[in-house]
Amino acid sequence: MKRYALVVDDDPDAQAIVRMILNLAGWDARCVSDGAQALSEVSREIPELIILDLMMPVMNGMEVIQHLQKDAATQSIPVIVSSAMSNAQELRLLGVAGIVNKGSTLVQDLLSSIGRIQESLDL
Amino acid sequence: MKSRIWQLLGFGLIGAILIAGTIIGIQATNTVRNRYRTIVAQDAQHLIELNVMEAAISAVLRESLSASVIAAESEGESGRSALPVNEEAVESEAGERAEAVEAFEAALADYRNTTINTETSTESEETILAIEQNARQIISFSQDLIELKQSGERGAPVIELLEAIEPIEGEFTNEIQTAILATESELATSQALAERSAAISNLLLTSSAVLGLLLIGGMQVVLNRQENRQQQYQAALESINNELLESNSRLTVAEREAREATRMKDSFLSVMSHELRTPLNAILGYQGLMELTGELDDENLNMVQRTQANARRLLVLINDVLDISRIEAGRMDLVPSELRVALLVEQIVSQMEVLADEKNLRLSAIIDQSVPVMVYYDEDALSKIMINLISNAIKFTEKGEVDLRLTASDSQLKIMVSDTGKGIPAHLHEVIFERFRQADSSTTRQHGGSGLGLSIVQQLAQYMGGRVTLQSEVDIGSIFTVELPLQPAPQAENLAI
Repeated sequence: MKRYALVVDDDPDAQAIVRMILNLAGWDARCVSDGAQALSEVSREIPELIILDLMMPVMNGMEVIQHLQKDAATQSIPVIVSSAMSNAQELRLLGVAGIVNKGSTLVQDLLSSIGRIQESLDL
Repeated sequence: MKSRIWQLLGFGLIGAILIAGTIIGIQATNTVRNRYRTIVAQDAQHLIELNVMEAAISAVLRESLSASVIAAESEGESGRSALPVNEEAVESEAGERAEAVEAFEAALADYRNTTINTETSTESEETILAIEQNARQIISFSQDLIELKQSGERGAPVIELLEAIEPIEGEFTNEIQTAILATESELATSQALAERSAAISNLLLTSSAVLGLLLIGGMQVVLNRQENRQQQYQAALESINNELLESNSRLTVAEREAREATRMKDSFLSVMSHELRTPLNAILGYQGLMELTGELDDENLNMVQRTQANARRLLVLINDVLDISRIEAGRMDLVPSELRVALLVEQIVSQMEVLADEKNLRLSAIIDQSVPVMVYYDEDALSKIMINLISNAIKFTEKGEVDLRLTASDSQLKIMVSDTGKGIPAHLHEVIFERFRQADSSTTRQHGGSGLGLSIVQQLAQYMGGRVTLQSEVDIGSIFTVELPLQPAPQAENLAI
């Protein structure tokens, strides 16, 4: 059975690109457009990976991470943040599994990040 | 206002000098005048005394003479006195005479002393001598007369003596009169002098008073003029004030509008930075996927890659423009956080290695032991400084290496990026920090980039309280150094992490 990842991004193109990358890596993906939707989706079914945009309406990425970490059921879900590296160290301190730059090297970076997480999940 | 004070001071100074000069002049004149007056008055006093003495002597003489004449007349031709010689009368007469002579001599000596002590003309000296001589003769004659009386002689010898005395006495009186006249004229002269000096001092006083008045008048004029001007200014000020009040209220409205505009600009900037990047990111993402998965022939692959390269350039450009406008608008909020220096440098180097590899350059990073493990800076700003310096160094270096080196002193964190590029001539060391400027404008196309990298570095360094300096030698390379105030993370946090 394919692994299931949740993509959270308000830009449909970004959703499509990340979904395609996940598919390339052999994952199933479901997409939502903001943080609130993401949390309700997570409460419905816990994904094995979340790929999270930071700048979103309704609830932004940082808030989503904080919510996930408060709940014992969700705090161990690996999260990859796709954003600029402006607050990389802060994100790492929050226990983010990976950070990828949305820009020029997204495809390669995301593929390698997904690869690393897959490896750790496979163990 | 200042010039007015200086004018007043100037006038005051001139007035003070004039008045002081006048006072000194008047005092000097007064001293001279008083001294002269004293001398002349003393002269006159003595002469008058002399005259009185002479009159006294004369009176005694005349008295005794008339007595002798009467005696001689009554004795007739015999030449012998019929009257017995009144010994007592003669004695007392002699005593009176001696007293008078003594007083006369004392007065004469006194007169002489004063006149000798004071500046006396040769003329008055002669007069004094003549007076003295005559006086002596008179004294000796009266002596003779007394002797005659005492011997009881009457008649002819007495008349002879009297006849001899008369012209001398007359002369004496004349001398005294002349002396008195001379003294009087001297007195008159001195009075004239005194009057003249008084007139001069009056003139001086008047003139200084007039000058003072003129000065005061002048000052008044100046002050009036200034007052007028001040009034004009005041009027002008009032109208300006009114305008200011008006424009102030306009400004308040404008300020509110400006604030609103700034807020809108801020939100525009942040929305733009998001909105501009989003489609570009989509382009880059799709192209990345196309390159990876699409069955593209060589030609298509080449076109995809070129599109991608341009999209990347556009992304860099957009990021730089947004950064600089945010810094310039003062909207670059620095949010310091604890940063592990080694981690930050590693991330930056891994990000920059791609660019270095493309040009076959060696990129190395050294963190000196002096640098604290944890520092406290805005991560984005610190990263941007290093990224911009490194990408600039890579851009202008054709072969060799680019080194990032971090050192720290007690008060400073130094970020140095050196390269083995072609170097920058000294006259361009300042220009290259200007926006959209590169040392050689012909290389802009070749090297790409926004031309904003170094400007961003400089602005950020200044924004963070530091500065950027450049050492460069043509054909050898350049070293850009950013010095920032050292901000180590608090020790407790250091240990916790």
